[in-house]
Amino acid sequence: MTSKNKFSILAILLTLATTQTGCIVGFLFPPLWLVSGGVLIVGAIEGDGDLLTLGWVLDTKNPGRADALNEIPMSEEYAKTALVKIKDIKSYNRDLEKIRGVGIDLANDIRSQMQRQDLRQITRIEQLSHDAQIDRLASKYGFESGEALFNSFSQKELPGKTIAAFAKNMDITEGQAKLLLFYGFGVKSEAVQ
Amino acid sequence: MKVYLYLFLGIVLNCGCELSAQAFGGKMAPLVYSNHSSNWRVSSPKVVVAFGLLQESLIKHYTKTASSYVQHQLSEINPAIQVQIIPKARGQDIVNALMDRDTVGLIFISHTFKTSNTQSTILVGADGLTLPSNILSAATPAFRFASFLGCHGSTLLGQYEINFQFRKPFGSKIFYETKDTYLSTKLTLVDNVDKIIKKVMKDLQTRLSPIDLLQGVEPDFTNDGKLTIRVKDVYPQLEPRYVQVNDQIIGLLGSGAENSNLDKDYRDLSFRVPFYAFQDFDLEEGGQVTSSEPSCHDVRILAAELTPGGLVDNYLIQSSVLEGPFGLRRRDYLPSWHLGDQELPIFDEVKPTPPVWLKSRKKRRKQVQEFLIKSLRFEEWLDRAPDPWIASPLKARFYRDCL
Repeated sequence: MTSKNKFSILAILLTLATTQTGCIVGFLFPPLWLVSGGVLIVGAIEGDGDLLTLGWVLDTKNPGRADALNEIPMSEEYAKTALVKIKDIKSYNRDLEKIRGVGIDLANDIRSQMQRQDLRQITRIEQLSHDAQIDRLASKYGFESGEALFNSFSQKELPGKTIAAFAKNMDITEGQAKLLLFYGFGVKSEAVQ
Repeated sequence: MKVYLYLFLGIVLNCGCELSAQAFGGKMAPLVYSNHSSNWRVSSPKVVVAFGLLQESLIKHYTKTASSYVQHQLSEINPAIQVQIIPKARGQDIVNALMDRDTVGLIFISHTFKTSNTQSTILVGADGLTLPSNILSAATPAFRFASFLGCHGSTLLGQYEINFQFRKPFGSKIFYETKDTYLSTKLTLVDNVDKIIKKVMKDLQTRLSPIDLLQGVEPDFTNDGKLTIRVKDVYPQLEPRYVQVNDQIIGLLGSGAENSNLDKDYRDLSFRVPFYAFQDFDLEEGGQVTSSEPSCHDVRILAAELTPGGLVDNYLIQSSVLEGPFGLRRRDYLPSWHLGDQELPIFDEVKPTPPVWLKSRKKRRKQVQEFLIKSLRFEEWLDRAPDPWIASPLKARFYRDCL
């Protein structure tokens, strides 16, 4: 059997494996979180106008966005995973309005930097150390410089002092900052020894 | 030829694995939360079987199961138990059911969607909107058990705060946790939804029987209170928002005509606040739940999910009045609290009306797609005349105050 044929078979098997045949979700359409458009169309075809809203709920482009900017369930597991206490989740939920503002600001700032054409030419992180825009943003979020910001995010876990500085600058608690960065941006914080 | 043979073999093997996985599915584990406090005594107990977002054929099928099998099994526990079926349940229906002093159990079946960051699963109502994580906070002390049936069942435990909500001191409770990642329905060879419902009923017969539903503490409403929100521009069924006192859901705003206001003038919308919502509950490290009397009561109005670019609604809140055993606490907002997403609302936009769908499935699909593309351009479908809004700058996405 040629490698091309092997690949064809592999591709079909993988497709079958991911269609979740028999699942309450996947029987009529693929996993909701992958193809919300499918649900949208099925909903519309079935003639139930109310189903149309589902597409927005699922938000294909960024399905997890809602997580951190909504309430986080009061669960020991979620607290442990983000290395915070349960009371931090409670305070996070109660200050959601403010935290949501911080999260949206941060996301917009990251997006605006990613869209900069001139940054695409940069090959070494050191080159960012004198970038005025990044330095300004770094200082806004409590980092010493742009280089420090990139260095922090390139590490596996964000050091405690960086979290503390971020929280202070954003006027939120350290627990709230950890939850926002972890569930909103996938950034882990360093475990306290 | 050889390639096709391999392909056929591959498909058979793959289907085989899938089916055998399904054959071993239908796993369910009862999680019992024993509590020293007592449940409420219930004279006309009711078990609610509600269907969220689900195919019509499945709703019909499981409605039959609920009205015959479930009703029969529950009658053996206590002849007075009635099954209430909600075929197209929205968040409001679930809140109403949970707040009913006669509701002792809830079985909710729906599609779910998996979130990317918390790696959990969210149940979806018939209107396509998600059920909030604290939905069970609306339950009264009469409530005895719940089961949520959907894919990725084990993550529902954390997402719906079961360990927190069921440890509150309102009597013993059982949560029937499903273990299946992919829950099969009658549309497949093995119906695991049916299998789980039967397991739940069998388990209930062993556990609920000793607890006589007629026993327990007499419900006491003397210390209940009332929350009155004075609002306008609340559009029915457009981003319904959950009203909470100290994290406990007491109702919804904008879920239907009864709790909306499209009048020119402000209108008072009132919600009954059960006495236990005047306590502040905390989940401690180690899983214990403690309660305390807060110095002020946290009142919040928020949607179950943020739906970026979705059907959002902006409100104007003029005042908020909380009445309870402590007396009356009032807050007036001048200018009115503008609750919503946009700094200034868009007005005069018209919601596109769905076309009459073509009969040909293929053509219809294309037509639907075109319609959706057109509809999705509308980021916000909004209300009224601009005058009152100009004086009221956006205050927040959520309403929160401590009264």
